[in-house]
Amino acid sequence: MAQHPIIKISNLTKIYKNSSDRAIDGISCSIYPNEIFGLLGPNGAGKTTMISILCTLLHPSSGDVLIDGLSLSTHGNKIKNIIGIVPQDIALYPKLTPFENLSFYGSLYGLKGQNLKNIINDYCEKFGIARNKHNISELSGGMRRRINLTAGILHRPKILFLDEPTVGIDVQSKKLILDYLHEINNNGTTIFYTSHYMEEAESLCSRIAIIDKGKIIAKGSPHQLIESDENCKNLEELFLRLTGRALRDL
Amino acid sequence: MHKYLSIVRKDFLLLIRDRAGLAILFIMPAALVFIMTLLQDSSFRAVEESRIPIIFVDYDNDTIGHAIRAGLTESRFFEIHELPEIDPSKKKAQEKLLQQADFK
Repeated sequence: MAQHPIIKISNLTKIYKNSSDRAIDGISCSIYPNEIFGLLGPNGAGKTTMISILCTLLHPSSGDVLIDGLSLSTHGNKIKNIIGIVPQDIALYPKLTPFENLSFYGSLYGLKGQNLKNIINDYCEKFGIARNKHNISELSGGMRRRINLTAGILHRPKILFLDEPTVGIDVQSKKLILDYLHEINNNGTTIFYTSHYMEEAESLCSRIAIIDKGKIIAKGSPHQLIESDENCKNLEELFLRLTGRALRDL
Repeated sequence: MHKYLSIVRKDFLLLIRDRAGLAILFIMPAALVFIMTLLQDSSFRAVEESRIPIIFVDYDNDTIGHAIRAGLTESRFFEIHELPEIDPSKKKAQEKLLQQADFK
């Protein structure tokens, strides 16, 4: 690709306090505008650490990241305005209604007044969210996931980080979310996505990196990755061949 | 400013919907004030009701001695015990008893 990368990761390393292991071990990688980039890996491989660093939530131990030309180490606040984050855990207030939650998150991104209300109404209609009927604690898992996603995209970010956005939801909600991700990607949003669902990643992502023990061990389009090993018929088989069958979260 | 207001609004909504939190917020300080008042009241009462017994020996028997006696009598903190008339022949024995604080 001749384009300039929208995310450029250079020799990124993260070592947590009181640990000698490298959660991220010298990763370098570029993500280009309009890509849906998938980061796959077993539990504890470093996916969430990586996404947390890219979202300015964690400081790297060494290395740097340029997001839309801005260095993470010096322009953290500017970067926050152009990115959206959809975390792995539901980041909503259980005692507030969907509308109150979304108003709060929208106002943190600088949205206000009728404009914010209109945006929330649009998303509520699109995702079938009941605005004010119930508190979050009374809603289904799928509905919470959809609201969690909406909270991260209210300000229409240039880059969207999704950390396992479809965990624990039904097929209908998953389809709705994935279709919407395709839609915003077609409209120019770059998506950085982590997941444990290989089939989902295979169909959604334009490029995938497989990470294990803090290092990228394979990178390419889903098609290229599968073709790289003639014994593998799909991404899941390749993933298991590369990362092994041993459990990681013991 | 707008961000701070929305944080305040959010926290206000969370607070008024959290009944247990509200109870802790208002009932706990009220209970604390009540208990502390009771404790302080009993300790003040103990101080006010107990008087220090003293014996006043006035060898001076003049204006200064009288003024000191009047001051001590007026104070609520002392209980003044009178000595019987000093028998000059038993003065030494009485002084010894005074030093031992045995004046009753």
